[in-house]
Amino acid sequence: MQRRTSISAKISLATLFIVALLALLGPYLPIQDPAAFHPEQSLQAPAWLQQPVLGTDAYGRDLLARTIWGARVSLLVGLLGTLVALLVGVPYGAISGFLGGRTDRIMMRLADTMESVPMVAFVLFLLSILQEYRSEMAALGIGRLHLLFFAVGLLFWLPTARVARSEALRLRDTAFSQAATAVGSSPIRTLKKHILPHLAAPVIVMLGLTLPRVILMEAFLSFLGLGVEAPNVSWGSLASEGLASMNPLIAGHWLFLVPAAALATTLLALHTLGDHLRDRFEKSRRL
Amino acid sequence: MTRPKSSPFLRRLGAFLLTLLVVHAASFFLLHAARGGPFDAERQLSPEVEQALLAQYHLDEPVHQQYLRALQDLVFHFDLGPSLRYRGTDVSTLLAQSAPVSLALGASALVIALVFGIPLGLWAALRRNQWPDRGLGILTSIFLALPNFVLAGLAISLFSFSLGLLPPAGASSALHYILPAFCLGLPCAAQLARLTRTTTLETLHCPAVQAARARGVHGLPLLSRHVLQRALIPVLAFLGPAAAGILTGSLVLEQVFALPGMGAHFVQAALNRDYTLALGATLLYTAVLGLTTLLADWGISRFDPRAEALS
Repeated sequence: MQRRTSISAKISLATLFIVALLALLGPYLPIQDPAAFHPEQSLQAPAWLQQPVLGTDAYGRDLLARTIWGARVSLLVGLLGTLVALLVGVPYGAISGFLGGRTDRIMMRLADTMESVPMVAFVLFLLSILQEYRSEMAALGIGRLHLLFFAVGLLFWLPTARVARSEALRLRDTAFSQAATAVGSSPIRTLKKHILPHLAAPVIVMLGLTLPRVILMEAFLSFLGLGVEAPNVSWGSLASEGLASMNPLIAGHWLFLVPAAALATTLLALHTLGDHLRDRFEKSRRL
Repeated sequence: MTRPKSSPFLRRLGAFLLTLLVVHAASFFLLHAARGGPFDAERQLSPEVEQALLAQYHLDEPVHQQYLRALQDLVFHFDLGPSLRYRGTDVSTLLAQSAPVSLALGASALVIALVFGIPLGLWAALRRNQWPDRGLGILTSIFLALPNFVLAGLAISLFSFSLGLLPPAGASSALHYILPAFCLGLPCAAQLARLTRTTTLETLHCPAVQAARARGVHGLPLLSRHVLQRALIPVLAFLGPAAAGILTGSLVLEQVFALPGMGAHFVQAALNRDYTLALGATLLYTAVLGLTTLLADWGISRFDPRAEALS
């Protein structure tokens, strides 16, 4: 079979590579402190080739630095949130599908019920209530950022669980897993040695599809003010600040456009790559 | 003797009511677990005054009694208690005031999604791999990837500030709803267009449609009599998730466009720790989402004979 990687997937991969590299190298790049106030140079328009490259905000903070530091938070929450979703969803789905019968019915009924609740509203509610416990959580070393991982993980584990379940259901009836059971392998051992490794491919596809949604959700929560807190920044909170300062009197459109463009480009690249991954997986499955 | 089978619709209705009950209970107890009463931010109160305040809101009773009281009020009077921020206003009153705004926004977004999504998806499927299909593919990817607040920001700067055609914020006339409705509806339309394209392509190759083609049915009759009724069933099933997406989007867009709807209230409540209002809004959202899903299920059972056989 001839395998061709489409040109759009290549461009997406290159874009993501650059974004990830900038985010990783953030602290070592020759950029200004993203939180430093410079009142004397507030609201400067982007100068492109000179300082400030992407302009400054109302407090004189360098937007390039803030966008790069925002990338760190957005990508980190995206990756760890996706990880949480997978760590919850895959075992849940795999156990449900592998055991089958009544356990499967109950576990899936539970999942259906959770799907019919507007989880976003519930998570917002939860986040606001957890605010009351800030000092206790701070003592345990749990910050707002850690809460975000779990909040977005909570939102996105269901689709992963469904995919894992349908795969486990299929794998349960294969000859190799029945053979393992026949020679006396315990259900846990079969699940671990024979089912879970086969879930890798669909799970990677799910990862590709979930990652952009998690990043979007983080941006969404931060945009509403329930995500990251100052001095941390993320693309969502930057876009929110930018949108607030976008009016004909201030004319600071770059404050919105720069983080919005960073977010949109990254999401577009991730979506393209995720779709590509899925198509390829489905094609290889059919053959 | 066989037990009479309960109708699937009634079973779903039961599950829906149970979900509402569970969401209410979960939110209620979460709310009570949140230590720090609603009057903490006030000036230092004398013990008598605080006691009187607690008694007025029945906060001095044991938790289970408070829960039963809340449930009773909700079921018999649609009463969700007073808002903790807007003194002297009931949560139900606040929700009743803001729900029409959100409903108008959500309904117009859904109409936009249907009006644009389905025909465009059909068009792309019928012109597969030609320019309409390719162009639409790119367009839908962009609309799916853009967060709706980015879309909203771009729309405001273009249509309000640069062209001066539409108002950027507020809700005083129907004109004010145009931008938010499109920002909310277009991403949903993109999803619908993709879905319609996929299901139409599948349907075009199914035996029944091929048989109709072989009999010489072509063009519009083929589409309306044989393709659409099959292709649109998954689209109908998508109504539930679409409603959820629109609901989530409205949380942000009502903020951006300063629409005094439920989403704006809910977000403000979450930020201001107005827990009773947040609870009421969560409950109402659950109800709206559940009803939409019920409606979609009913539609499927009406139009898809296979659904009957399955359930």
